[in-house]
Amino acid sequence: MSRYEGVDFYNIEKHLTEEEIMVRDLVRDWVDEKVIPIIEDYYTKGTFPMELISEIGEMGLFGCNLEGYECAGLSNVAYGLVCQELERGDSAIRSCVSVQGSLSMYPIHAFGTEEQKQKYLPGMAQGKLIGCFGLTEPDHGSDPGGMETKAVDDGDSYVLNGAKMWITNGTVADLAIVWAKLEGKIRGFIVEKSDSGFSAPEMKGKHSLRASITSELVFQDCKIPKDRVLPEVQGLKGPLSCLTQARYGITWGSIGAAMGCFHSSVDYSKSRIMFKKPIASFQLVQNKLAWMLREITKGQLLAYHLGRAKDSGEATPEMVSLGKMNNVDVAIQIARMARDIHGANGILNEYPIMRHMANLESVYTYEGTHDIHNLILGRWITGIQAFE
Amino acid sequence: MNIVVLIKMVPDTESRLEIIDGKVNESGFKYMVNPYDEFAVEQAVQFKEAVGGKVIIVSLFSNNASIDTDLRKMMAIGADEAIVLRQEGYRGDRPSSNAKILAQTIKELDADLVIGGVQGIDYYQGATGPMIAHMLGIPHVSGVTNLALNGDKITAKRQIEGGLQVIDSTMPVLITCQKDMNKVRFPALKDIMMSKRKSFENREVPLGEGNDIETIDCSLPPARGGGVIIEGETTEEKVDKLIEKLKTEAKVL
Ligand SMILES: Cc1cc2nc3c(=O)[nH]c(=O)nc-3n(C[C@H](O)[C@H](O)[C@H](O)COP(=O)(O)OP(=O)(O)OC[C@H]3O[C@@H](n4cnc5c(N)ncnc54)[C@H](O)[C@@H]3O)c2cc1C
Repeated sequence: MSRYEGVDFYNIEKHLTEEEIMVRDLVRDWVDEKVIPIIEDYYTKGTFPMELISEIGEMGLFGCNLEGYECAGLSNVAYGLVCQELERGDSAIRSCVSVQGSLSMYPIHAFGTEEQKQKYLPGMAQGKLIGCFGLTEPDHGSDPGGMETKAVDDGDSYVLNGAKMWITNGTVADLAIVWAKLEGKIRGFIVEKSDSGFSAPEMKGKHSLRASITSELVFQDCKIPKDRVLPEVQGLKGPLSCLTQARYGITWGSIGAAMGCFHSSVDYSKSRIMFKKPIASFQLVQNKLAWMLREITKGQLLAYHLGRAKDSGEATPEMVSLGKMNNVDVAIQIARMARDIHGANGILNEYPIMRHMANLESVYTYEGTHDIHNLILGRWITGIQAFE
Repeated sequence: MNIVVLIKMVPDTESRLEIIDGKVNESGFKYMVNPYDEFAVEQAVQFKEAVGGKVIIVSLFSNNASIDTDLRKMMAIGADEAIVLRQEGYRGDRPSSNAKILAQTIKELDADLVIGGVQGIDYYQGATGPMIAHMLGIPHVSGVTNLALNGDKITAKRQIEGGLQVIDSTMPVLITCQKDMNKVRFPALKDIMMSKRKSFENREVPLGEGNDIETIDCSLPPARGGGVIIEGETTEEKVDKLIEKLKTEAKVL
């Protein structure tokens, strides 16, 4: 395959700072050298390439848009570009970085005490401590407000009971941000791996995001010290504000996966000869490539504009919902179209296509399903909430 | 230790090569850091980390500013300063006059070590480094595969046909690096952020004159002719025809 040079039909690079370009190129080169050569193997085995964690940490990618505590303090656009390049490698790598930075470091950074920040954030930024985010439960996915996990104040500690499911990084995490009801109100707790009554068995049998670790979190009279509650937030807006951060990263990441599929499709269609001609010379194939470029370009502009709005504090959760929903939606369609262009080869692990396609099915569902984002927008448009 | 790293900006390997009237058309080119020079940057930074000092990048190029970010990336790896000599009408295929201008700049930098790639992947002349050493009146070792500081000396290893040559040199010395001399690091985000605060100086320099070679013509390699498929009823017949061709046409049997 030809060297990957990015997709930038509308010359968005012109609007990036030199620093943002350097960050993008760093991650791009790293993904080419460290992720792409090994990822099919991990995907097939169904394990996460743990050895990449320390490298990601050394580069400083975890929580790189947060300030202080050894975090790089990059712009949101730079953070988006990191996600874009990582997900061109594999959604699992981007998921790991999203969960660590947006779902685990962010709540400590935004809602934690100074001691909590000092204790966890530097190690997490360096990849020495891994975090996970426990919101979803077996019976509460799109409706996290109905969660059943409970915390009880027993005087000098909190006691947690309940179970979380579908938790990325769970089994390998050193700490979990767990959302549970305390006296009927949703609160965030920091549970450490060694806390008694806590276990995190891995979930097996996934056909998607196979190179990512997904786990259950089980709390059986799990006792944690009182200073492990996140004091600064109560209610659903705690976890939802984390999700807004992660959904923002997905807006960029999904387009990265689509770019990988597009790049492979252009290469493949120019070299695959059928009816004595490259298939790229047929109008139907060109139409598909043109559609891919069109949707990637729109998605890119959307992500870029959203990023600048986030930097200036003007991005709303609804704007992020539209970004996540649109870009994952087009990415999955681009992946399917790429599968078609690659013919039978499209199902082989010699090409990244089928892996991206299967991965994006998870991305379509997690962080708010596609339709949940439609409902969020529907509520914004009409003022009427249609969830229940 | 003061280290000067020579960096040549060369056409990106994905650039489309086109010849117009015997000249390479450079108008659509994107440029990148000559890959051999990246090893030189990495080596220089490793020495600086070990013994202290300063790493200064010197590059001669045209006024085209599109290369600046790629040079800045070398500063994220750890170089401290960049001096870019901007020359109207710069060409990469004039080693003698390019070396002269580079040597003039390097002379003022009080370098203990001048280090660059063994060759530019644009014209593969491998001449600029040795010429600069000559002009500066310092020793040089080219095509080095391993380099180590050894008190006030430097020890260079060269992989040569069938063996390894070990060379000791006093400093200052000029070294050119062979492929895979080291592993070029991925910088951290904080190094990228720091790099923008480092000095990046552009200096106008005149076109070097005289006593240089002149490229009089360039051409692309001839398009490869199609292969010949040997027809025949049976395998034996085809093999006989092939042997006949190898004898009479290719004259290898
Ligand atoms: C690989 C993977 C990793 C994950 N990682 C994490 C993690 O780290 N942490 C975490 O907390 N969670 C995680 N999740 C869980 C994820 O966020 C949930 O799967 C998601 O929120 C959807 O919940 P659900 O699967 O229960 O689907 P459901 O909520 O049961 O939805 C099923 C279908 O019903 C639709 N639906 C539901 N309610 C409505 C409604 N009111 N109106 C219209 N349609 C509706 C949905 O759109 C969907 O199509 C992960 C999931 C996966 C697959």
